[in-house]
Amino acid sequence: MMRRNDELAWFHTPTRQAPIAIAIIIINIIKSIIRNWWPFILILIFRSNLLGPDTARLLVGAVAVFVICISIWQYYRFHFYLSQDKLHVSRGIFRKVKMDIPFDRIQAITFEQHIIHQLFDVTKLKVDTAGSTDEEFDFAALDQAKARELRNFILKNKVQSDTAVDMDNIEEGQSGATPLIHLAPMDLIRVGVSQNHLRTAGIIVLFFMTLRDRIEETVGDRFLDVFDQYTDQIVNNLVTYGVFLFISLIIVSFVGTLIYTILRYYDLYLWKTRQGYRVEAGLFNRVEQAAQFDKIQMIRWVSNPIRKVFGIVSLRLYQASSASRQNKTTISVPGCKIPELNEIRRSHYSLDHTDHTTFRLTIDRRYFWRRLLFIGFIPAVTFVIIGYFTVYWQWYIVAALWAIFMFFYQSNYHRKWTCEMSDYYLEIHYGLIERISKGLLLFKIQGVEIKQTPYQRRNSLSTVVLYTASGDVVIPYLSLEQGLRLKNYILYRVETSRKKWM
Amino acid sequence: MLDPGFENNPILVDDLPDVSAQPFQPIEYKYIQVLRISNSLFMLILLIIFCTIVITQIGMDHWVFYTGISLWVVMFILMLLFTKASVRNKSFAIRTHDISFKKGVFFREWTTISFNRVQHCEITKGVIDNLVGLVELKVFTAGGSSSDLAIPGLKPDLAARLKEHIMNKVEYHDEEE
Repeated sequence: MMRRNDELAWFHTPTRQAPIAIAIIIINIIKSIIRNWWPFILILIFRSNLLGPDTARLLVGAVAVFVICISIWQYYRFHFYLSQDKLHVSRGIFRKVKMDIPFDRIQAITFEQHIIHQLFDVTKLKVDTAGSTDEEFDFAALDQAKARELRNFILKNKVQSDTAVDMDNIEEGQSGATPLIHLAPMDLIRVGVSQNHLRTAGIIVLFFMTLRDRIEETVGDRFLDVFDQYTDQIVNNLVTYGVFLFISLIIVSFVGTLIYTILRYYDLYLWKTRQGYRVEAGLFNRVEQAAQFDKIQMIRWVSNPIRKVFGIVSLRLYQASSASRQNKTTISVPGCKIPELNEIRRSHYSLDHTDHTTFRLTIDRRYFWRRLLFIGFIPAVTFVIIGYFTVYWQWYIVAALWAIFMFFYQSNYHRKWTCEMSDYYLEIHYGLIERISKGLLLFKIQGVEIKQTPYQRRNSLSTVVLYTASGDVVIPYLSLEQGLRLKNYILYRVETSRKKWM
Repeated sequence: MLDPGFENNPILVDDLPDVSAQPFQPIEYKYIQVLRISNSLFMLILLIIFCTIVITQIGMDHWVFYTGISLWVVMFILMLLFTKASVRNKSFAIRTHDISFKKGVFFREWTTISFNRVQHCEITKGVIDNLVGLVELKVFTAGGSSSDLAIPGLKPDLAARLKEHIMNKVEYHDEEE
């Protein structure tokens, strides 16, 4: 028994990684240099007149020595050890960081082996903590046996052993059970049609606008003339090409979105199991995702006029996960029908089991006036000034139309900004054309912030931001009194809650 | 069957503990040195870049040079004043169940994080912090970094005690769950 304790003791004293970690750190640093500096490196290589062969050799040598020194230094600064319930890590060269991570915060420990790892019989150890990126770290290389011992010790001593059981293990739901949502090909076409094509067109235009700089950056100005020639032609015949260009852009964006939608969401199934939701979709690459009820922090759905006609919304379920994995864990159902949405809301807020009386928070009217000032009047005044100096009277009309349009637009925007809450949940709905809704359970909130601009301070107003483990909800322009009451109430709900929230 | 211990009394929002009523403790005034040193370094780099460009391109005897230098001096004085206000406006408070931090001169922010939502805590110090003898306490929550708290300008022993206190609270909540 004694002997066994002695054997295990290695990880109770500060330990370094396997020496081969130095090589892996070197490779990682080189990778990150290439990733961040590639345009600069390309220029150095292709524009050889910038650097003579001797200078180039010196530069490469200096960078190499620097990288090696930094890596060795980093290796020697990295220590870790385990106490009974925590993983302690100290690392960093210029900025020393000490971390104590309780075992039960650790969501998953995964092994990864690249070629170098396999050659030296070591493994990369990833510790996923569902925390922020700062908290995330990998062991570059640990001996296989040691890594296993480490993982076993951590898993054995975890307070909540159930967090280790991921949704991957849940096999129920597919066979026999009826899915909550299924997207047939016709639904996918509806989804494709109702996407925001103007935004996609905008992205395409932006891409072409930045293309010129990219061409110049990477291949020099040889191809630039050809590019400019084409754009000149288009600009010179803007009226003829303009309409054609606009229509083709919309068509390209429409077809593109449709193809993307079909590839990604083909034959989408969403099942509700005992523990959570499970979704399966995709044409060639079928992706399976799962979300435990506990882990869902926020639901968000977006509607627009076309979707309204079809009676669908684009729904997303946000799960708690580390910042870098956020996108991979979000469950997205683009063509969710209204009854299905209501079913998901009802079950998320447990509406069937608890009594929910809702009331509305009032967004102050000054929200409208501020938006009108910044988005309406200031641009309008700019148009008037341009009109005054360029002597084109048309600018005055543009200014007047803009101001009038914005008055009605912002007035409606303010009127339709709603925040509804009950004792257990809060929902916000905003936007005129594209209407965005977010909903969350109060006890899942992890931080409450009250923000005040100088204007809001003078007028006793406040903006309240509610932070969850995956996304924020911002409620603008509440009276300060209401903001404080909301903050008090939410903190009370969070601090008295004993429910599992993640 | 109702649980005999079950009660469901109405909650009167006005009777809830008022988060704004707690006394806030300012951070160390010495932190002003950290900010002044780092901001001065930044301003110095700006000055060097400006002087190099102007002197090599137009020469010193030009209105651009004098305007630039005067602007720089004004900015430097404003920076010194702003740093003072910025340090004075940073304060924190701890209640039984949460920690709050206030900051901002013009745009004020006041964040409160409940201890049962804290993931972990960390004490960091940069090179300049080290010179002045102060540290920064970081409180991390789950998910993105948006709701994390960072309280700069703390004495090392106070920061260590705070960290210990918060971590004890975190463990206490975990045991209950």
